Amino acid sequence: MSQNKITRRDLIKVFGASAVAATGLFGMSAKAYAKGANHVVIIGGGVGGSVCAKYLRFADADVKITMIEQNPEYITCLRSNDVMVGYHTLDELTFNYNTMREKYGINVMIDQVTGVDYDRKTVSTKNGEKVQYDRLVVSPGVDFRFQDYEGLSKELSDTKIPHAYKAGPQTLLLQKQLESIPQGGTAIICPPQNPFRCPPGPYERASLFAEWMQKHNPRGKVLICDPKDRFTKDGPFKKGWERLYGYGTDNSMIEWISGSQGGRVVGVDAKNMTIETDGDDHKGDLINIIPNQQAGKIAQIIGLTNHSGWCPIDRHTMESTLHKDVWVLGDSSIADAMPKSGYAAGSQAKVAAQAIADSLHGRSPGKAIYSNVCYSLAGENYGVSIAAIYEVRDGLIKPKGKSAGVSPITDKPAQPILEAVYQKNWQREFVKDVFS
Amino acid sequence: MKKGLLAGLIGLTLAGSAMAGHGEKPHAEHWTNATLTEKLAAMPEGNIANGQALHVQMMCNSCHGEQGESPSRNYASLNGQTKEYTMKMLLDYRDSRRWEDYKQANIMVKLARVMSDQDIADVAAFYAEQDMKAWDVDYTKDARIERLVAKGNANIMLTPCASCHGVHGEGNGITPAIAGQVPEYFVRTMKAYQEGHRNNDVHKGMSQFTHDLSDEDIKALANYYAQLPGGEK
Amino acid sequence: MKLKSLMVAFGMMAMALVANAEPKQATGQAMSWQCAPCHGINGQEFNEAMPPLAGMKKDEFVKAMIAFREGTRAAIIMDRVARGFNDAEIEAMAVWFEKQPAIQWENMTYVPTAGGKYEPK
Ligand SMILES: Cc1cc2nc3c(=O)[nH]c(=O)nc-3n(C[C@H](O)[C@H](O)[C@H](O)COP(=O)(O)OP(=O)(O)OC[C@H]3O[C@@H](n4cnc5c(N)ncnc54)[C@H](O)[C@@H]3O)c2cc1C
Ligand code: HEC
Ligand code: HEC
Ligand code: HEC
Repeated sequence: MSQNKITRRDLIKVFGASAVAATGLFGMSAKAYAKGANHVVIIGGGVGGSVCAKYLRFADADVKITMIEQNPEYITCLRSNDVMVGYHTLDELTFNYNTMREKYGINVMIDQVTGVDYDRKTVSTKNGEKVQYDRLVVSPGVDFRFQDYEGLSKELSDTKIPHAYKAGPQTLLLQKQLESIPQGGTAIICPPQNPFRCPPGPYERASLFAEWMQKHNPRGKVLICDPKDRFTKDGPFKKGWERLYGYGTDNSMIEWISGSQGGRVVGVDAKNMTIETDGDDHKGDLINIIPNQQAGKIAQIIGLTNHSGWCPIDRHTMESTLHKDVWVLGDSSIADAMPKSGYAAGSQAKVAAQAIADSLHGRSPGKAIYSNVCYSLAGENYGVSIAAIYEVRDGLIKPKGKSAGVSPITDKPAQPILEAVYQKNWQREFVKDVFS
Repeated sequence: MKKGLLAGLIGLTLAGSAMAGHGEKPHAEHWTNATLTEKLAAMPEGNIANGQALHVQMMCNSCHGEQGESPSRNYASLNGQTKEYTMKMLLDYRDSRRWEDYKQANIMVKLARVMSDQDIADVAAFYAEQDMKAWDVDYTKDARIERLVAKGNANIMLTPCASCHGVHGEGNGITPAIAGQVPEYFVRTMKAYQEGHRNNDVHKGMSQFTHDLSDEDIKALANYYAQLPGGEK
Repeated sequence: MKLKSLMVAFGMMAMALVANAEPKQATGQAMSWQCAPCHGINGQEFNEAMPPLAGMKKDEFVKAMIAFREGTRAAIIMDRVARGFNDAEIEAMAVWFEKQPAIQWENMTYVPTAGGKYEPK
């Protein structure tokens, strides 16, 4: 059966088969599905969507779950920075949906959602399917605002000025560009304005580029042109840069131009490989503009965003405040103090899964507890982290107790080494929590 | 000391992917009795106080506990270990002789690589100075296992554990103390010997005794040794 | 008889009241799910960095969490996590984790396939 052309009959077949496959685990049966089982439809099989599907299965063995994802495989952004410097292959970061189907009895449709009819509670897709839902979950990631930069476009990002902020071909393009920088050349990285996915991502990338250059292009330089004056974990990051790349000295391999120093990029001249900023123009041998972001396109199309470009939600459950029986997870949602990270998306997905199960069974939702931990590398053996537990207070998601904290800056040399190993262990556990 | 460690750390990072944890395993020469004896004899004298400071400075305490008594099922206990065995292990991690591939020794390999011979001797002296402690397990006297420990089993050519590890499991020289060892770690490392994941022992001096043990035997041995310190004897 | 049904009715009313009030605490399971990205699904992971929580004795769990929170047990990350929880929440998670079956740490070996996958030997 071709994955791209699922007919209605196939759909039932898939349902039947997956239900049988999962019977052993969750005591479901094909019959239980056939008669009036609740149907939850999930748009997006990324981190938020997949975790929600799986934990919804834990919370409710009988509910029918359909996940609609436009790509047959998912490449995690997590650790995609490592791919550019050869510490990982894209292959190692690629996952399919077989486990979702076989172990958890989730019907995964490979198709693109094009619209939602809220009155009829129906999702429509590019291949012309109409799927009815009782509850809808939307976790489509982010959309890039190329229009904020003169001369930038999606086409340019695919060919010459990659953002590589969605793992895939652009990751490999950027890797090739890094390797092609002439000796003593410059890589320019332009992080976006807040809020954006993976707040430490651009700075980790700068670190790994500098480390790569130490080995392969020792006179090379990484220039960060930032619209902001601060960034996440900037304390431990800068300490790491001082220790590893001479940051703050004349020979530093990393230079960071903050917003108030005129670091904001306003345009790019791809032919001359030059960026225009609030301050000077800069010429680079590699230009990595990571554009400003907003909620995934489908969330905009189906009216889940507000004036901010992101999706407002009920903080206790992650349910949209704009449409009933619709949940928005992950990068697209407005989750206040929580960063737009994979960990956060998974955390929200678990809260939502429980809330959806509760709502289907007429129970009132429990108190919401969220969490986030982000590990980043300032070097292959130099990890920095940030961790927090969250709760809803005064109507906003805020750190709970005294849990929020970044890696302490200590003179303990083992701390960053350990955090780098923990990062690897964490990444393995995390993708298991999402996909196995 | 701090400075030296930091320089080591930066050197490590610079050396880069050749040392990457997920890359190919570097090949170190296996010890022979002669090379090992020679190396251990050449190790500097350990300083207990410096060892204790390093134990904190290097954050060994975050896994192995304040005095080396593991607070968790996850990590090995180091308290009461012989100096020679601890030194051998850290050298083995440093040179990748003990490298149990995935998920196991990566941390120890990376940490040992920023430790000098002096650092290694110091922590070894510190652990040797600590008392062994019994691990809290349900152990009911198991005559078969206690005979295996004390008398071995001639049928499967099993030398008694006690003949090498001591009657109280207290160890001797490069033969480790195993009394009070964390049972989950004990089981795992015995399985690792058995299946060939762990092969840093000299001339298979330990792994040869694991081949004919059943999983049940190993579990029972782990429980027996875990409760041994201060227990009946 | 009458008294009894009255009490039942009263009990049900009380329950309804509780159900409608803003929940004071998340369930042990809901909180424990948040630990899975490090400690594995149901806390069952066992690896060099992340200790398993499944099957951990309740008292030991509580003792460990409080020690992390108070800063009396050295930690790389758990101090920052534990500071987010009060005693009652820790207790609720302890009860939940104690019931999860523990899985012994598996010895794995690196198989250098194209995808660089790790397989049990
Ligand atoms: C370089 C980089 C490094 C990162 N590192 C980390 C890290 O170390 N730790 C961490 O926690 N996070 C990290 N992140 C962030 C993390 O990847 C995201 O926060 C996370 O993926 C968000 O999950 P999501 O479900 O919101 O979106 P996604 O995971 O992006 O999933 C969205 C899915 O929806 C699908 N989709 C979109 N529209 C449609 C449609 N119309 N129809 C069908 N399907 C659709 C997409 O194809 C996609 O699969 C990193 C990100 C980057 C860019
Ligand atoms: C993040 C947790 C962690 C930290 C920190 C850590 N260890 Fe370990 N250690 C382990 C694990 C896990 C093992 C078992 C590894 C294996 O099976 O090879 C181990 C094993 C050992 C062993 C071998 C034990 C035996 O009985 O064979 C020694 C010795 C040791 N560590 C010493 C140290 C020292 C010294 C430090 C500080 C410099 C340290 N460890 C820091 C987790 C840690
Ligand atoms: C001939 C001597 C000998 C005998 C007999 C012997 N061992 Fe060992 N054992 C050793 C040596 C030497 C080592 C350390 C090997 C190394 O360097 O890795 C060791 C290591 C171990 C370890 C690993 C300790 C740690 O901290 O990682 C365990 C557990 C162990 N032995 C258990 C046993 C048991 C149980 C028996 C009996 C069934 C036994 N041994 C029999 C010599 C022996
Ligand atoms: C970012 C990864 C991470 C997250 C998230 C995390 N832990 Fe931990 N946990 C660790 C590490 C690492 C250790 C070892 C101690 C240390 O170095 O911090 C640990 C140790 C523990 C221990 C001690 C176990 C033992 O064997 O002694 C307990 C209990 C624990 N964690 C509970 C929790 C609970 C409950 C949660 C969820 C609320 C949680 N952890 C979330 C990483 C994590």
